[in-house]
Amino acid sequence: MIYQFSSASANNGSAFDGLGVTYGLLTNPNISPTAIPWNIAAGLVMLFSRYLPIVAPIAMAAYLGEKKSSPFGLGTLRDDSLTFGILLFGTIVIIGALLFLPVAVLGPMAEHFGPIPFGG
Amino acid sequence: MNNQPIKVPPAADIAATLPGSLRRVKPTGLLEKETGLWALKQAFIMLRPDIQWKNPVMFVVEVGAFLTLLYLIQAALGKQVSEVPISYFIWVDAWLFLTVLFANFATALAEARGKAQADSLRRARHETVAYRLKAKGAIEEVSSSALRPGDQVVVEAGQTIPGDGEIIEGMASVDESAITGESAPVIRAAGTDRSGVTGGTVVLSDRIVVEISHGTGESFLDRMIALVEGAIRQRSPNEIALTLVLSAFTLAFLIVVMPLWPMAWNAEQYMMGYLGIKEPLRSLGTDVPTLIALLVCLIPTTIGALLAAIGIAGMDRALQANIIAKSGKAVELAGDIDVVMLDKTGTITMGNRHATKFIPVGKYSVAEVGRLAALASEADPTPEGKSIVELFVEETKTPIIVPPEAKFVPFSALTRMSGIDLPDGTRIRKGAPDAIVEFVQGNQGSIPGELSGFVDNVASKGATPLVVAEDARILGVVMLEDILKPHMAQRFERLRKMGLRTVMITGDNPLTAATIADKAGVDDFLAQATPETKLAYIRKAQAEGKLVAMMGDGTNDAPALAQADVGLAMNAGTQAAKEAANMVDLDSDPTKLIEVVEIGKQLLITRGSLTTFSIANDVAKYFAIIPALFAGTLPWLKVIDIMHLHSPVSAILSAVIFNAIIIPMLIPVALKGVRYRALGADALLRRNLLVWGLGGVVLPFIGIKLIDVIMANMHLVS
Repeated sequence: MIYQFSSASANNGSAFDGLGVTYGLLTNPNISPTAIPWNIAAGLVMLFSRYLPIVAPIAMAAYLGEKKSSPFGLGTLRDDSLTFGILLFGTIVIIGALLFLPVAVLGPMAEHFGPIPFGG
Repeated sequence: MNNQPIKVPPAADIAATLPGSLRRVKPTGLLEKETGLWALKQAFIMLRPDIQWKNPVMFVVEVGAFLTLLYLIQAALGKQVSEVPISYFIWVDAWLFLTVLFANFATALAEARGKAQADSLRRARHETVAYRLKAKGAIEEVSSSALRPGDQVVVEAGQTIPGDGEIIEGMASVDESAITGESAPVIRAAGTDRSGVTGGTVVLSDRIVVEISHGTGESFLDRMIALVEGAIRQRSPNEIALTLVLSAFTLAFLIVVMPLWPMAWNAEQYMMGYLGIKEPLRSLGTDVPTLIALLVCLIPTTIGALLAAIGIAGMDRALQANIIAKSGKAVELAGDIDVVMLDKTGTITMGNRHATKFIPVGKYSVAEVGRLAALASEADPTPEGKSIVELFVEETKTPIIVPPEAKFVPFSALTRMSGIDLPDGTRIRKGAPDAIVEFVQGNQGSIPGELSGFVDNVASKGATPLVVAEDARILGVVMLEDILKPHMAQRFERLRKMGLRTVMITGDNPLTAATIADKAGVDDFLAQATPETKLAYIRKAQAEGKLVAMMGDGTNDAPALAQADVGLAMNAGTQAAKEAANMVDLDSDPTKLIEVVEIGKQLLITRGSLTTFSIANDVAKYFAIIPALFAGTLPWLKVIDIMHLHSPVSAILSAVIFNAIIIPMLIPVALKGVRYRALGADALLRRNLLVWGLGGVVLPFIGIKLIDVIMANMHLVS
């Protein structure tokens, strides 16, 4: 489930055939009852988490680009140094972990560590 | 006609050359009884939702605390059944409220300290008697609170100046210890760049007439007092931006925590099916107070609590350094300054030139040049003149004999020379080279060829040449040297290490200026500076994207002060300069700009460090709470329980308690500021990341475990 939604939102969309098996919406009369809600949900997720994070940062970059640029000096935060790289990486890891750890624990981790009905 | 110069004790000069840290005279203790009690009371008052709402992060905590209270009441009434004892709810709720209270206490304490400082300043500005000058010279006695801007008051020796203003007539020595803490008196005179006076200070000698510029309660000092007390404090742009970021984090974590309830419920259902039990399986994952506790631990409460306190404490530190900032934004801006513009006279050099050498021209001797120069300077009240006399007496050990009928010719800006007319008709003059040349040519004298060479030579050494002439003969050159203030080279080095560029402004010619700039160690200089060239220089630097700080005192400095990003005016300066600037220095110390930059940087660094610490703390809290939430339902998740806390209940309680008590523990850091070192941005970032980032990740693991062990051993939790 998590894989389905995270792939709709950010990955390469490898789960794009959805969770409810449909085998062609128009021709198959026996689609699984949860197929349509799943697909709609996945579609909405795609809209919000792919397009918004594209539009918003570009708008922000344009806004910042109009501002006066400060000259390079001893007090400038260098973005080509190892320190900055570690800072960036650390921030991404920590924030990402903080946001996804609860659902990861309940989903994939439980499935990995747990007995059969949960994943084995 | 007062010819006697007023003696200025040398202490004032020496004090001004000490590095800033030795000069500070008003340290306040971190916690005094009155301020502590007032802050405690305020902490409770600030719980009101409409006040608490201003701090979004703590507002969320307050809402959570009230929600938990509702659940607590529900559980007490026996409506809700849960596998956890009611004492757990009571503890969690109590600590949630304490978190909010600690946050409010931090802000209130910062404000209280500011109030205490402001009170001590205000005590000097009580009502005094003022002698208002009316038309036709009549004097009426009024109370100082009745004075209006534009009123003129007479202040004589021994009286207190009743209000802020400018001296329009006279000259006096003033004791400004009431506002600066410095007891050495200072000179204030009409028509100079040192004509500003402040209410509450005492005139020690002579008589002055002061034109009042601000009514009581409206002066810069009063405004700063109001700012520091928090009465009219507005959030600076940096603070607003950071609050927005924290609110975004809070929202994100709210979105993370909310789905946990249905997911935990789902897990419970699964387990019930798996184990085949019919009774509902209750775990902490579906327990709303516990989810609230998780939310509170995740959101950046540490920085959310201390943000306001850091801002207020920054303004406070500026006041402790005797700097009146007109807004919190000015202090922050000072931290980002790239270029610092300093006046040469009085800042980099001692301000008064000293004669160091007599250079004879042609066949005259050093002693002759010296004698005539000293004669011309004997009645000269300026420090330069006195130094010439001193030099001659020192070199030849003979006193100067001035004929009693000799007439002294004082210096004037028009003639640019001074001298003495002896009773036998000889006229001795000393002054600017071109003025003396004119004088001698006017007497049908001839100019020796080597004179221009000597004059240029002196100028190239960074000194000022004074030519000495008697009637139609030019005798020689006196070399007047600027004495550099000690420690200045070190201070400029410190500024350079912080990444700032120093610029020296002087009215000297370029040759002299270049030499002095080299000796003092400044990065650049502006010679023959006029108000227009200063303004142009600032504009050029700003066009390159740099932020410029400037210090000034005269009315002609006002446009440049207004144009600069940080303008620091001296309290002794003119009203125009003080209005144009965004900071006023009570000490009227030209090197104060350096302190201002450090305070600004320290403020910004403190905010950044505590934000990093706050976010880094979350890692450990997660590892404490998540296993507690779900390991009850899904026992195989125990593998992620790396902290091995006593029980799920104690785990969550420990995390909440740690989250709460880290706030008062960091109050000293917030109020005193993170220690600032003069390093470049990269080195500073590395250092602070290690201390606050890595430390922030590691410390909560230890802290939460410690609290858990203490609670388990005291049998406070099951």
